[in-house]
Amino acid sequence: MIRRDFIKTNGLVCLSAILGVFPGCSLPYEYSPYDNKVESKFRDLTSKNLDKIKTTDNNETFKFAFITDTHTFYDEFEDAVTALNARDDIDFVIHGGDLTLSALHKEFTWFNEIISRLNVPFFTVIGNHDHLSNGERLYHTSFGENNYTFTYKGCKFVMFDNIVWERKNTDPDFDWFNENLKNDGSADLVIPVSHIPPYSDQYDGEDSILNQILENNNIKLSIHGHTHSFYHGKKYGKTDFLVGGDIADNHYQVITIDNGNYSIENIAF
Amino acid sequence: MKKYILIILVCSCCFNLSALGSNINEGQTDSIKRKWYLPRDAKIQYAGNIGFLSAGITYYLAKDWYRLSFMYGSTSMHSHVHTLNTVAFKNTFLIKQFHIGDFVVAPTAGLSINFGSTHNTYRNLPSYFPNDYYFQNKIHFAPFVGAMVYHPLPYKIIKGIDFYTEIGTIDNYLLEGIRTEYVKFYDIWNLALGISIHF
Repeated sequence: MIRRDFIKTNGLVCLSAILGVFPGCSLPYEYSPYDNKVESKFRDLTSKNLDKIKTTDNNETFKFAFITDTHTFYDEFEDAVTALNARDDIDFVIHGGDLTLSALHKEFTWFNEIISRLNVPFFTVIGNHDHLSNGERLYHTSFGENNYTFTYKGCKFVMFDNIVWERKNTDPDFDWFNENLKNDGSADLVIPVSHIPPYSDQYDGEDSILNQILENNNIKLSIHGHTHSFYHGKKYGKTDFLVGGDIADNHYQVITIDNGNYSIENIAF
Repeated sequence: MKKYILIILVCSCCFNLSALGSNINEGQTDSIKRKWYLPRDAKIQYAGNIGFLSAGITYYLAKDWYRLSFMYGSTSMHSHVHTLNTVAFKNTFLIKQFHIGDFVVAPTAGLSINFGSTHNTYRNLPSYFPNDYYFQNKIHFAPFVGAMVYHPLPYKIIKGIDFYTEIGTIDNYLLEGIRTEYVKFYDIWNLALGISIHF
């Protein structure tokens, strides 16, 4: 083949390949399973959900649902969302962490696709599995800060990243946790939510800093996931622990907050 | 798992050396007798689970239908993450070669063994984890299928050029595609484009 023919034929192939890169931005290219690429509709979800509940400020009775450890149980997770959407008495849903199994890019996408079908706002805490690989960065892009608080109808929720081992065996920000658990009198109830309960691995039970902080702040109810088995009750002192089972258990919990008190229902779906 | 990967790598290397030997013997038609360590091509790839951009070199393990590429890819600049690098051992099989004029068109298939690196990827867990707390998350097996178009070039050093495209996935996504109803089989695949210069 003479050079002109070569340039003409191969040039067309080359041009097609190069041009394919640019429209390829909307095609399913994936650079890495650890890539921090999140669709704009799935970014800053905590902030977007907080905006939805910002206006409600009275101290009337309300209910919220709790699910946790959905990992890659996508089918059961979808069933849970369908069951929650069938109710009209829940104001929002809290997820107790371990949104993913390996914190890969597509796992976060699939999680976000399913949970975004909820009819009500939702809030999450990060779990140990979500810290793997590049997960903390992906979590930050999808949801926002790991530690945050919000107050709804007189109840203050303290959402806390209490992961230890997956943070290179370093302590979580217990100073922030302790400071934000303090009730200045404006809240009827303060409820901390974190992934790992003090009686599970990564903590030393009663003597752990986590448990000491809960006890010192007279916390009535502390909500967790991680163990994959449901538990509700006291372990050491004044604090009640609600620990949700994983979503494959086909259960979710509904917590009713009434004038500084709470009650829990474990609901099958 | 580690033993399994080690066996694959050792077998690949042994196969590589023997195949290279045969290639040298068969390479009498080459104008320059090829040194065993000289790669057969150099390539640049866009996307495909081994980085925003990756580059590598290729050796022929069995004539020209079984090729092993050593690739390095980075996604750090794209993702604003300090560490997001991948080293891949990419095994490519040319299923059939069609000669159309001066072009060679070949459907391809293969398996890439990707070693990912972030600040929290483990091949061996640090000592503060209990044994077997996690399965390793550093190595991924990434199957792919694709096609390439090759054209020879009339130059002494650069003897040809090819463009290729691939559709691939990784082991974790493949498992979810099979295991769950929610993840559809077509959800797990992604595209890659590449260009190779043949020596």
